[in-house]
Amino acid sequence: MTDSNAVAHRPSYPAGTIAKVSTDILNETFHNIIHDLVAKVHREEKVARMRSAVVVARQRAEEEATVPEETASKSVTDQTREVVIDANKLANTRLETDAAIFDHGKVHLKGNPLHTVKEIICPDCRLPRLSYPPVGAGHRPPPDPNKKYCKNGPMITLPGHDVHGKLFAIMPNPKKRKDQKDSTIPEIPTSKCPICPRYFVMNRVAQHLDRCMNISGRNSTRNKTPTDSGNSGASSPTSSAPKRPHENDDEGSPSPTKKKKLSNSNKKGSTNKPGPSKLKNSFTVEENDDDIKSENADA
Amino acid sequence: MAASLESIHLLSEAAYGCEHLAAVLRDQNTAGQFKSGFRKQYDALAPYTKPETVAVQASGLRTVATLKPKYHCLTCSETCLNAERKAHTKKTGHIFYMESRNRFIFCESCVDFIYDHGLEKLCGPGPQSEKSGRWATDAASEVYVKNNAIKNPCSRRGARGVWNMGQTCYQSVILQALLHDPTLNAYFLAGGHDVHTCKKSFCMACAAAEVFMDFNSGEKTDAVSAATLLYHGWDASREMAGYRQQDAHEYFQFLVNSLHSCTPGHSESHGTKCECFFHRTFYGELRSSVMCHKCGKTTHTYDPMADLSLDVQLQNKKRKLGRSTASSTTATLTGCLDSYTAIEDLHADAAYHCEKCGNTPQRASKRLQIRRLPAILCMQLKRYEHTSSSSEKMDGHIDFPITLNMLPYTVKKDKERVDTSQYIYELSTVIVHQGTMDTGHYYAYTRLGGDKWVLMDDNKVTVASVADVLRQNAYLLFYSIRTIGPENNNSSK
Repeated sequence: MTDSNAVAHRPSYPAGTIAKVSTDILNETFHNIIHDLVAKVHREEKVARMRSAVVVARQRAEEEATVPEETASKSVTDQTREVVIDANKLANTRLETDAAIFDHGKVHLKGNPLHTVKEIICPDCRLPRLSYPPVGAGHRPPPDPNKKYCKNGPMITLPGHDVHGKLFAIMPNPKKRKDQKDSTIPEIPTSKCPICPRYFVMNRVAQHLDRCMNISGRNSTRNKTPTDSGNSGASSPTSSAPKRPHENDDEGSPSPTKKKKLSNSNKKGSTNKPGPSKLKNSFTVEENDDDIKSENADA
Repeated sequence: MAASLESIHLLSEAAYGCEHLAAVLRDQNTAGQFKSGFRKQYDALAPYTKPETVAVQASGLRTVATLKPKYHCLTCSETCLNAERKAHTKKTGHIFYMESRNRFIFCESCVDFIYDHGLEKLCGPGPQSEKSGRWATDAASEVYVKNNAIKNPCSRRGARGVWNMGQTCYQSVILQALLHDPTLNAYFLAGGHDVHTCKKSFCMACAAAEVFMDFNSGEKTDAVSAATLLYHGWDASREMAGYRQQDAHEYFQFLVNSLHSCTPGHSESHGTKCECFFHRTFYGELRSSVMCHKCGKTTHTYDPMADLSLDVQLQNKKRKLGRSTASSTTATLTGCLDSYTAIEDLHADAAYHCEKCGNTPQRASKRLQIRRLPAILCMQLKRYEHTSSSSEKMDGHIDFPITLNMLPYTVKKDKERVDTSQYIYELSTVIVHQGTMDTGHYYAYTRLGGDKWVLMDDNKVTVASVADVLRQNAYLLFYSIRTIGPENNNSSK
């Protein structure tokens, strides 16, 4: 079985030989693998287009059946998306698009959607869906830059960015004032300690929790916390966000001595900490509620 | 709940797969016949195992003309190849075929595969699928649902990280493995654990439900925080607590176990079978059989299993001794499973006492097999080498498949005719440990559905290809069952 032979022309073997049987099996297995791959893609694409055809037809029919008073003040209703549809009218609507027929609440396909449908529409938000990411690897500009597209588009591959095209979050720099910060670079948010009322940058929560729950044997923080609640822990060493150069704890493989280092730096404590009130602002009510609940459970 | 979701999805489905199929299915007389023919052909083409007795049967070797996909006419029972289909349609006028590999319908009038939503719903396991009339599909109720349903805005679903709170990547990776599972999502989002009425303090299930809800809420794309879950976990277990690194596998066992004990109606006693949701989802059952060599008596014992811990070293050693088959030049997951379920000799001096032989120590052989498979199957590849003086982590690649057939590792007899599609598992998450035995970092590769994979490195979510995933030196593998069959469909409720 030399390569040049196989490439130049398909070798044929006399029937009934092992060579014949094995090449046949191999060829047909390859055929089947390709067949299944193509069938899978075909199904995905055709189902997406079928749905697009249906969604477009249905949307047209619903527009037709919209209660007239609403159409008068359409500018308002469009914004709030509170369109009232006349059910009876919709049930009796018959309407045709290029790809489908809407008839009595059901949508029938017209022809093969692979030929009749040009654009994939998301069945949930009814916006067109991009086929290529707008930035990063394999990107293509969107067909219409002014159009709105479905948010569930292709994932983005761009170094330093996540699949949504956002930059990775960095440690907040407490020295910079809010207005000096680059708003395009997301910062690691803060989270309230489930026990005490202090806020910590997310990747410091476990370290604090260890102390707050008194796990590693060092005492006092837990008892102190109620008195701190007013000014969000300005005095306690644990509340500090140590400003070490390597902020991301689990990046790469930390050395075995790391734990020691951390606790040392804590003992010394650092004087610089982010303004608590500012950090608090970035929090939602919901999360506070949960924390209150767990506090109560604790008490 | 299910009713409204169902009808929303129906709104975007075409009534029929194509115009030609519509002509057949609209007519009551032809529709019934067509559907039963379809169902029959669908079942006939199911990937059944061939019982060994049949495979080597009387007539000797069967000559198979070709391995290529065949097209089975849905009107008569004729089987055609791709090239012969046209002639058959010309001769008989039958236009619908079922393709043998994927069981898709081919319409000769469209000259294309067609996908009919209604017919595909018939394909589910069991005969109960005919109840399509249960949800009214008239226009009035459609409109009612549309006007009253609150839809989640579109987003890249599931593509969100979990914050590392400082050495908590063991928690993040396990959460990623669970957060993408449809069964668990359905459970937590549909109020399977009622957070508002739960009286338990430090409830792990409440904390987990909070993470699931946060993870699925709306348009957010940033990472979720699992601080409460961490807090409750630390409170529950001394071993798990503290600002230090943990073993992800131990955390998984701890989490599943504590979720189970937070579920109302769970049973702790070993005598009765626990029927809680988490037991039905995560726990299978292992059968260990011991056969006495003297009298041939076999005793079975059954134990619940939350995961399979596979010995990687064992396979390596066997290969060195030349005992395993020559074909396995690289370590594979299936090889690990083979040796896990292989027959093992217990030596005479081992403490096996056969009851039948008067409680005397006997030579015996032991075998572990799976009696019941869980919906979510976690497998640990034990990458440690314990010597008397030290423990070492073994790096190196172990091949694992993206779809896994678990049938050979179960107690099912070879002679039974079994639909293998009931035993097919799909890879859902791969957890990798980077570093040494004592310290390191975990990250997870997670499937977002279809062939979309992402690398979840704490809060960072990046695109991964299937090839990237399969190249990893996995530590934990999560597989989930492809179809929920009649035997285990109660776990989906």
